[in-house]
Parts: sequence; C-alpha cells; structure tokens
Amino acid sequence: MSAVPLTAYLLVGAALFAIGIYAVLAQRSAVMVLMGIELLLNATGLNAVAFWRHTAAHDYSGQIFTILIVTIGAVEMAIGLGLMLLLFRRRRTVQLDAWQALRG
Amino acid sequence: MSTALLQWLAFALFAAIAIAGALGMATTMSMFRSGVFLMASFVGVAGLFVLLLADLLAWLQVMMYVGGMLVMILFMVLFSHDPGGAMMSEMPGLRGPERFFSLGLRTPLHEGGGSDHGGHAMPQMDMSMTTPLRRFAVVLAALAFVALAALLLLRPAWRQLDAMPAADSAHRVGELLMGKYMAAFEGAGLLILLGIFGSVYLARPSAHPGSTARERLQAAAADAPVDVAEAGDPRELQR
Amino acid sequence: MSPPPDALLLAVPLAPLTAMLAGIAGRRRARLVAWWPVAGTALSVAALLWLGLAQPVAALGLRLGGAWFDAGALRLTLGLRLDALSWTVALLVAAVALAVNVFAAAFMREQSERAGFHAAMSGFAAAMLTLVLADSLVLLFAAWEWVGAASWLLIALRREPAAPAAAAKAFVMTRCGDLALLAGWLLLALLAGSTALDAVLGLAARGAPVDRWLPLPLLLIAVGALTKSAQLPFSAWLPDAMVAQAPVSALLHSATMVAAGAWLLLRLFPLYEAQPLVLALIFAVGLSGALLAALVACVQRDLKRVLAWSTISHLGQTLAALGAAVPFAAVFHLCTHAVFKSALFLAAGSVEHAAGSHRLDRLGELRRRLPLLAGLFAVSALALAEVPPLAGFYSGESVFAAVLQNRTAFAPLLPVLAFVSTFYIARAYYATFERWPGARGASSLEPPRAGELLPVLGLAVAAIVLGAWLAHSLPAVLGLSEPEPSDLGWRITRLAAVVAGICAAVFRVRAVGPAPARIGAAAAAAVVPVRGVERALDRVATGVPALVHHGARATQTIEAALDRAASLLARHALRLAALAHALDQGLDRLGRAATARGARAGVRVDAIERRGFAAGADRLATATARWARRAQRAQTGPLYAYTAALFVWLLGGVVLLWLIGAAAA
Repeated sequence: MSAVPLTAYLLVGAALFAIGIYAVLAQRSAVMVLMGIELLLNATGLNAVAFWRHTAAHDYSGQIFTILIVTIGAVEMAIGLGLMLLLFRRRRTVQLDAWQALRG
Repeated sequence: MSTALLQWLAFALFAAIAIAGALGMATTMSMFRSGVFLMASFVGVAGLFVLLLADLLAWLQVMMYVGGMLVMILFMVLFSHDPGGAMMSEMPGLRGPERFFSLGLRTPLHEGGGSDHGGHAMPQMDMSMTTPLRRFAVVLAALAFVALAALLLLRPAWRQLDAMPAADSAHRVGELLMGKYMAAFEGAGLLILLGIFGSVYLARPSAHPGSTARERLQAAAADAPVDVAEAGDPRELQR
Repeated sequence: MSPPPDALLLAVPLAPLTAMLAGIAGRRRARLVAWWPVAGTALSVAALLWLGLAQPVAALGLRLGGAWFDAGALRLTLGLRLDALSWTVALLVAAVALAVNVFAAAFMREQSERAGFHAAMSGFAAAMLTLVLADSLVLLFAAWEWVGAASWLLIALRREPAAPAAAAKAFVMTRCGDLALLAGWLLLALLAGSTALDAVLGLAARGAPVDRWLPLPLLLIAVGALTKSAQLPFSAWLPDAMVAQAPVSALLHSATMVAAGAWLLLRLFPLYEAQPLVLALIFAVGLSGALLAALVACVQRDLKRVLAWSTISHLGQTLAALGAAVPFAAVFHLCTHAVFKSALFLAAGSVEHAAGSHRLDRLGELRRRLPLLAGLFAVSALALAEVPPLAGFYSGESVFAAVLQNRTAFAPLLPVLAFVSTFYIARAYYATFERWPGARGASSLEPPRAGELLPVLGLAVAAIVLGAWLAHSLPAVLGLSEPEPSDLGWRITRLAAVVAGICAAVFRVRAVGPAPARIGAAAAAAVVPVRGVERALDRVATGVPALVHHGARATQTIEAALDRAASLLARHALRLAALAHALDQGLDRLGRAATARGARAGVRVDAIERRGFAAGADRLATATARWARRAQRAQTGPLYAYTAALFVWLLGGVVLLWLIGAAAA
C-alpha cells in the first residue's frame, strides 16, 4: 500500500523534466547539454517506474522498459562524448556558439 | 510514527534531493559541481525507486549513473577552460540559485583568476556559462512544468492497482529479460556493441585537417623551444 | 566404413573455413598458401560426392542443427539441410570453386598479397556453401552478409586505383538490398514463429490469415535477391566489380555470388508459387533485364565487361524462368551458366595474362599463337550461344519452354535475346582471337601456364557434356517438373537466330572491328540514367535554383507584359475617344464631352496601371523579400536555437493533442 499517491511521483518527474529542458536550452557547453539530456531521460524513467508500481506491479515489464531506457541513455552518452571529442579537435572548444554554419 | 508518515518523509527527502540536485546542476557556475549535483540528483531518484519497491532499478541507477557522471566530469575537465568555475564565479551579476549554488568557488588563490587562462581564451566568444536563450528557457521550462502538472491533475482516472510486487522481484525481472524479452535484450546488447564501435571509431586519432595542434606538437617535439602562445597543449599553459 | 553423414555434411562448409584459417596462420609459407583453398574445396567436393553416392540423391533429406534460443513467440534456429536441390547447387558451387582455385594458384603466382587473396577465396567458398546448405533464415542471412563482405575484400585486394571505389560500390549497393532482405525475412520469421526453413515453407499451407501478409515480405526478399544478382535497376555494381582479378570474377561475379539471389528465390519457391503478382514482377524484371543487358553487352569495349553484362543477362533469364513458375528450368540454367561463364572468365584472365590487356581494341589475332586457349574460349562461347549439343542449348531450351508454357505472350522475345547474346559473344571471340582491320594484336605474348589452362579445359569439357547429362538426369534427381518441350518450329527459329547472330557478328567485326554495335547503343543509353541516379540527383540539385531563377524571370516578364498591356489599353482608350470626336460632327458638346470623358478614363486607367499593377507587383515582390528575410532570421545558427524550437513544437504538440483528445471525449 503506497501512502504517497502516484501524482506526487509524477509531479517530481515533471519538475525534473522541466529542469532538464532548462539545462538543455540554457547551457552553452555541449557537455552540460548532454547532462541535461540525461536528466530528461531520468525523469522519464522515474515516471515509468512510478506507473509500474501503481498500475501494474505484478508485471515486471515496466522495470525492463526502464532498464532499456538507462541502457540506451548510456549508449547515447558514449556516442555524444565521442562526437564532442571530434568537435573539440576542430575548434579547441565545445561551446555551442562556435558552430554557426546553419545560420542564414 | 506511522508508516504513512515515514513514507511521506522519505519521499519528501528524496524528492528534495533530486530536485535540488537537478537545479544545482543547471545553474551552478562550476562544471565540476554540476557533475556532482547531477550525481546527487540521480541518487535522490534512486531513493525514490527504493520507495517504489524497485530495488534492482535503484541499484542499477546508482551504479550506472555514478560511473557515468564520473566520466562526464572527466570530459568536462578536459574540454572546458574553467572547470572549477573560479573564473566564472567572479563575474558580477549572479543572482538567485546561481549565486547559491556557486558559493565557495571564489577563493583567495584564484583572486587574479584571469591571467592563467587569458593566453588562450577565445577573444571573439562570449565566456558566459549560459546561452542568450536563458530567459526564454526559464519561461519554457516553467510552461512545460505547468502544462505537465495540468495534464496530470486534469487527467482521466488511471486504473490504479495496489498490488505489491513480489519479494523476489529481481529474480522475476531476470526471468523476463532472459525469456520474453530476450530479443530486446540481445538487441540492446548489439546496440551497445555498435555504440562502442562507433565511439571508438569517432575518437580515433587520425590525420584530421584541423588537428594542427597535433602536428604542432609533433613538430615541437622534433624542434627545440616551443612558443607558449603557440603550443596547443592546454596542460602546458597551466604551469 | 563410411563416415557418418552428419560429419560429412558439416565438412562441406567447414573444410574451406579451415583452409582459410590455415591460410591465414601459414601466410608466410609462400609455396603452400595457394593450395589451402584447393584442398578445402576439394574436400567439400569429395564430401558431397560421398553423400550423393551413398544413397540416391533424390531421396536425400539430411538435417543438422536445431533451436538456438527462444525470444518469446519467436524461435531462432541454426542448421544445415541437405536435400536434392541443395546437394546439386552445393556440388556445383564447390566444383566451380575448386576449378577457380586451381586456376588462381597458377594465375596469382607472382603477385604480392596472395596469402590474403587465397584466404579470402577459401572464406568465400565456406560462406557460399553455408548459404546453400542453410536450413535457417538467420544462418542464411549471416552467410549472405559474409559473402558480400568476402566480395568486398576480394575486390579491394586489387592494387588498382579503381578498386576501393568499386569494392565499396558493390558492398554498399548489395547492402541496401540486404536491408530489404532483412526486413523480409524478419517478417517471414515472425509470421511463421520460427526461423527454421520447414516452418517458413509451411506458411504456404496455412491459408487465409497469413496469406494476406505474405506478399510484402516475399516482395522485400525478391528486392534483396535482385540486388545481389545485379539485375537492372540494381546492376551498376557488377560491371565496375570487373576490376577484380579474373579468378574473383569467375567465382563470385559469374557463377556463385550473383547466383545467390536466384538460389534464395529457389529455396523459398513454395511460398512464391502462390503469389502470382510477385512472380510476374520477378519475370518482368528478369526478362527485361536480360534483354537490356544483352544489348548493352554489344557496346562494351572491354572483354570482361562484355562477360559481366552477359552474366546479368543470363541471370535475368534464370529469374525469368523462375518467374514463369518453372523452377526446374531455373536450376538447370543456373548450373550450365556457372560452368560456361566461369570458363569464359578464366579464359579471359588467361588472355589478360598473356596479352597484357582486356580491351577488345588492343587484342586480336591471338588464335595463331594461343590455339588451345582460343579453342577453349570458342567452346565456352558456343555453349553460351546455345549451340547444340553444348550445355547452353539444353538449358536455354528449358528456359524457353518454360516461358512458352506459362507466359506465352513473351515467348517471341527469347529468340531475339538468343540473337543478341550470340552476337555479343561472337563479337567478343572474334575481336579477341581473329584478325580484323586495324587489329594491332598483342606485341609480346606470354604463353599461358598449364595451371591456368587445366581448369579452363575441365570447365569447357563440362560445358560440352553437362547439358545432355543434366537434361537426362536432373528431373529425376530434383523431383521438379519439366516444362513441356517446345515444338519444332520454335526450335528452328531459335537455331536460326543463333546462326544469324554468329554471322552478323563475324561480318561486322571483319568489316569494322570491335566497334560498339549500334543495336546496343540505345540500350546502353537507356541503362545510363538507370545507373546514374547520382547524376540525375545532381542535375536536380542544380536545376532547382535554376528553375527558381527562371520562375523569377518569368514573373518579371509577365509583369512587364501586364505593364505593356495596360499602357496599350490606355492608348487604345485614348484613340477611341479621338475617333468618337472625329466621327461626331453634329453634337459638338456631346462629342467633346465624350472625348473629354474618354480622355479622363484613359488617364485613370494609366494611373491605375502605374499604381496598381506596376506598383502592386513591386510591393508584392518587396514584401515577399522582406518576409523572407525575416523568416531567414529564425535560422540563427547555434544549436540551442533549434533545440528551443524543437521543444516549443513538442510542448505545443502535446497540449494540442490533449485538447483535441479532451474535446473529442
């Protein structure tokens, strides 16, 4: 019996998601943007587990889905850091302002 | 104390850690602190997982993300001009959460902070931590939160079951992973392998046309004294 | 005391695999390195023959392997299957591979990198045998990919500037077809619940709910097979792959790898039988490809390219036989084509070795100095041209009978195809070996080695006897139905076409040499846009701004015309008023008033024109430009701007969806 209702967890997830949006949009450094994306994924995972607990606690597919979310997040982080390494080699910085080729 | 009260207290504590950590990560001037704050936020979420009786996931969360954040911090230290945030925190006009989460960064040792790094700062680029979209991002984040909260509170009723998960939930998850979701498991493994290949390939040392720093270093190793302002290696400049 | 059949079956793909590993491990022992693939493929041939002699082939039904793992409702299996069809094709593949490897041992004797080459040839043989013997869609697809990778490696090993690009082109094009194949077989496996061939072939008998879904995966698999078999429009990679060495062309790009596509369709034929639309598509692509490719072969100036386009043409005929729902004819033609085409390629390789080039205009008059080679090439060429009693005659007859029986409307195209095929191969032979005006011939001739001539001899002898022998024994072995034989009139027509082709080619080459024949020019031009999709896309990319520019100019012209029309109108209005004035003699005041009114109207129209049309068009143009510039400012450049736009769209989308949902509820 869970004393804390589902809505509370979902609100926490929503708050984390909003802060993640802020981090993705407001940070200049690409590494910080990646961390913001991790926060977004984490908020989603929290939502998934909260839903699993409150609506389908007998079926563990919800946990498996969260495991897959975490896994995919880790892979995405690895490739993102690899790409950032390449960017750093070109311009000696990972500030997003250095790439404005799409301008115009 | 009744269990309901305990549950609420635990929830409040972990939720506070999670949100405060996330806020700290997004607003602090020090990149190193940012990584640590995110770690703390993930630990808070892990605590929430324990409250939700998903212990396996809580452990997974802690193990994967603590390691992941360490790697992130490593990359931040490598890539940024001011990972500790000392130079940034000297900038005037820090308000609110930014000021709070950046307390203690400014120490007497770094009073004359700029000179060490001035040699290779990018003159034409703005050195702030945040983009010009910052205010818009705050508004958008607030809007997103309000929209999501509204969607939550005005939702159609979900079918909530109050079943308790089994005591050996980890065992059951393992069985499912090896049975019904075997294809997804193998697929995720394949994806990780491809990701490793991809990132190793991307990060390979190669003769980029742009890696003049590498060539300069190699030339410098062959010749004699190296002009400090010309050397590409940031480590050399922080002597 | 014979070894157990399971071990023999496993030995068939494992022997070349072991040979590959041994070749890699012992790559420094130069003298041995060429003989590992020979040993490997010889063992495979021996194992297959032993299996075939122990019991009648028609009754073969050996299965090896089983379930690998279960993922929910899908069962993945791994296994090998030996039945009459796979035994026949596996024996063919192993025998041709043996001959080619013997040739390669002599051919590659003084080249560096031969260790890698020979190891790759063994690896390829292992992959191809696995593909033929596979009992599981997973294993078949893995072997398919392995074959593609071996092909890439073998082409890329050639130390020539065009080689890496050709290898990459072959690999990438077949890879794209492989994506279709992957989607197709995954769908089939999901429908059948298992990847075992038995389960998949059993789908044909399942009936209604499955039948609705079957055409899609079968179509996707057919696309994959067509890409691998280099049928038009996916044929661009095969002529470029001719940059590889002669043994590679002989093994991969004539007899085995490109036949893998046909093999796949043959294997899954029980499923295709019930899908007339897909079969019709395969037939259409096969026959049209065969005709077009044969025409293009007539304009090629390079001996190996003639043979490459000929391969595309003959594989098209095989697929046409398949599309006519007579798999017997397809298997027959596959076997004979493998034999005579690899003989031709190996002979071409010998010619290149001896004369130093395979451009037709640099060859000629080689018969006197290389009589044996010329004779072998001629025999194989006659087999290709379907001259009785050589192999190509019987299998060509079978294909023709199949088309006549089930797709009678298209049967007259086949004698035309016979004429064109004979033309190109006779032209190739004559230009290489006989005297024609302007033939410089080769200046220095290196005599071909015995090791090169022996396999060509073997294959040519096979090309002579195989036809009659297979026509006699294959129906019983395979258990597939033969097509009804065509009547005498058709046979005479086809024979006449062949003779006409030879005569036409001989006369033409004697007259003008190996110049590209005009009959193929139109086809070659038609194939170029099919092949040059990149060039077309380029033209589109440069054409669109040009089009916009023209549109702007056209708008300007229209505006100028409107200007002129309006001013013309004004002038005419003025003229009308003057006319009224001149005509009206009685009523002066009315006349003057009318004139004055007309004049004022004219002036007003002119003003409207100036303010309305001209100024309006100007204002429209400047307003459009201003709004375009404003819209352009949204592209600010750095990533966070676009991310912000993305999030705004997402958020807006979510809210909108919820509102719609709430309104609908």
